Amino acid sequence: MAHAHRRWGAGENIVDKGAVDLFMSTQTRAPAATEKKGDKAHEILLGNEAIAHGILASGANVVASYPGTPASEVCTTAMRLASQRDLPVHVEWSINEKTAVEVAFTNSITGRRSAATMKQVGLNVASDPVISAAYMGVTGGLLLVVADDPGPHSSQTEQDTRLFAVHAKVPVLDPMSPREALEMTMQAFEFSERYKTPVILRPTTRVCHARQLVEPPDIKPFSRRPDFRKDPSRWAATPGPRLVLHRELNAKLREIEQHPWARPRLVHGSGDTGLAVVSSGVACAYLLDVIAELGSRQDLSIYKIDMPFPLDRHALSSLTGRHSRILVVEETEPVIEMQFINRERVSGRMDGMVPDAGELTPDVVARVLEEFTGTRSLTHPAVSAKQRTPSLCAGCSHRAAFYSVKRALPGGIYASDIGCYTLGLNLGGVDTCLCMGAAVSQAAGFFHAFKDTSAPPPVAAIIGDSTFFHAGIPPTINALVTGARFVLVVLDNATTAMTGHQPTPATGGMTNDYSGRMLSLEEAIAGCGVKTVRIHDPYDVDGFTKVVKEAYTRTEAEGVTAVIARHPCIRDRRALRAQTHYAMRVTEECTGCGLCVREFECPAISVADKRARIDASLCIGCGVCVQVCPVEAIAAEEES
Amino acid sequence: MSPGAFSDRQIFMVGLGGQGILLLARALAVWAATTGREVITSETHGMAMRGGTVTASLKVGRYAGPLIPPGAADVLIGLDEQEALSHLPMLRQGGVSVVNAATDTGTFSHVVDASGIARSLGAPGAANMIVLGRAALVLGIDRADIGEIVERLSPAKVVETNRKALQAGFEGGAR
Repeated sequence: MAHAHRRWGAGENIVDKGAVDLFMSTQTRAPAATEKKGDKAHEILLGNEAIAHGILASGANVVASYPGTPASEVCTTAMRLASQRDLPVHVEWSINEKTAVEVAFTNSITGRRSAATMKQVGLNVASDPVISAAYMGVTGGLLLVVADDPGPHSSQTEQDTRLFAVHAKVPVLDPMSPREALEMTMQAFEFSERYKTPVILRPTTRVCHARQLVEPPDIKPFSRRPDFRKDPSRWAATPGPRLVLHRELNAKLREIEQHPWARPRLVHGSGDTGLAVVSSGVACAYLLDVIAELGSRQDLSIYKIDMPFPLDRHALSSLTGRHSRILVVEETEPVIEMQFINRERVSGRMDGMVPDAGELTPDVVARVLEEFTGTRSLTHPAVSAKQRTPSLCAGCSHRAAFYSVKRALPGGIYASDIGCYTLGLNLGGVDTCLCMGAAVSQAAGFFHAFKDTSAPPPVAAIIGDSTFFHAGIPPTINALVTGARFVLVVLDNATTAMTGHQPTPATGGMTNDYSGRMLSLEEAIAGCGVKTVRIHDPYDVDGFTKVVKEAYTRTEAEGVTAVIARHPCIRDRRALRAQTHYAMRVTEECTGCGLCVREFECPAISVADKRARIDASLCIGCGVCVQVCPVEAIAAEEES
Repeated sequence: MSPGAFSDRQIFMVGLGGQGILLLARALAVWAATTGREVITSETHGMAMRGGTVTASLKVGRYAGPLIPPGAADVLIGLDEQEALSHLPMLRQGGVSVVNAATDTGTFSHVVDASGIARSLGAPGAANMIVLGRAALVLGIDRADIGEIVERLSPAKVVETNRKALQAGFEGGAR
């Protein structure tokens, strides 16, 4: 901060207060529905939107997905385009990624084109069908869009899908921009059909959530008749024929190594320089920007890799013959680097020149390049800006639910899960968050760990509605039939909120044509064998606390009991309008004890000078905090 | 077109989740594209949108990657004063800042009390459009052009509010 003031303080380096001539205001403009560039209509599309356009323009008939940042908008866009243009396409929000891949793969073994889209950790959930599908191959194009999140910004891990692709023996494409993601998507389907293999497109957050001028391809209704040729030795292969399929897959990969995508592509320099950089994905884009900023260094050659696996190893070897030293810049694991047979002249993640964790931002790329070339180049100041941590929204019913669970089960262990409600950790309502669905199995694990101790703590599994459907059902059944005892609290806000409000099985609307039935959450939980399933609005703090307490007492006899915390997400404007609004006021009674901040953590409440304050611009008037204040110093007046 | 008039520009935007930085960024990107130049942006989605630090980048011209390196932004637009302050090193020397702040402490080149103006308009959520109006004025962007883009990009229910807020930004900034 002090540094910032010194450099940019009052009177220094500040231009005139008048208009700044940054964008000359004299040029002709054509603001229209789309931006004109040359003769063709271009649109500023998000990388994920560009990919969705590419999928539908390639004639995919099935698109299946489970939402997850940074991948969600691919399926959202596909669903919107399919319904707006009435396309003969089935777009679905599947219950989880494994199901999405299985539905899409099966369409692709009837000769039709399909796509399954997910985030990188979703691929873990789908790993079983993906690895098996690679052996079987496809007859119609199958594209798996798997978005990685180096950083990580919105994920549990920084895992590299390209490395997973090596493990699964599936070709993987690594686009560096929305425009390239669109081009690769369009070509991937033909590639998939030519080699009869699934293909992975691996955009990263900075491609998914970048916008660029792209020319969206025409989407023509395209319908291939399904043609499923029964071939049990392939589609139902037992271990014997699987060996044959494995050999066939290896032969395919050797053939794919001859494809131009498998060879490094010179994108800068002459190819005759001593130093060379090999790169892929958005890291390559930063590299090109850094080089441009340095005034286009001609002593350096830059090669781009479009398909990091499988690579033409001979082409890689010839690079080590041509250049004295090679730097590999890629996100996030050394996938290209490891495929160099001789790494004597190669630097990258494996010798520590490139940091072994974290996102490769332009300043990191510049620093690495500086070290590799041994010249001081660009000096980027270090920005150590403290990132403000996110918080559950003011008025979010999850906050009320966490507060009540803490009161109902004091000294308890609260196993939780993936979603908005992970932010319940801010108010001490979340002790664990492992992966989708783990709240339920971890609650069982804690129960078994502590059951023989003198005073086992009460255990709760706290999981969202969409997450429960995704991966919470098998562990609920498992807990019930293996003797675990805990309260299952399902936070039911009737949406998949964190990823942009996708539907859930209980809300309906899982497909573009609204086919399919709805399944109520309580029926699903009861169907797992849970006898006590109570439903209560967590806005009623005392009532909800009592319900959780009662449910916990019943675990003694019933094992797993459930409480559904039902209140719609307040980001749903209609739901927000429908609820009662209060004008909130802190009275003279306030002692400034800070419990409302410490235990309840509403972003609209702060304490300063021994007095709580409610920020009216953040408060939505839910009135829940009235029930939280121990000295009744918060007053609520109903608004009409 | 002389090359000087169309030199490459990088705009860094920062605020808190829920303040509407994405709409602001998108409107500027669409506007920049109408000038016939290449445009690439970067946005924050996901968990940070729940009140966390949200940044966006807009790069106009010959750029390949979407992120702006620290110390390289020509313009910094801040919807939150604290966030703008802590991201000030993103600006290059001589860069211009346009920030939503109640009082002008002299730290930023341009300050507009967007939150205050938005409250007085009865639309506390429209501070982003007031800052956009002020930034457009500073950047020499035509009022009608950016207005048309904002109307096109705004959800139907808030078109009128956003239009008013944008104009207030232009006027509030014209000191």
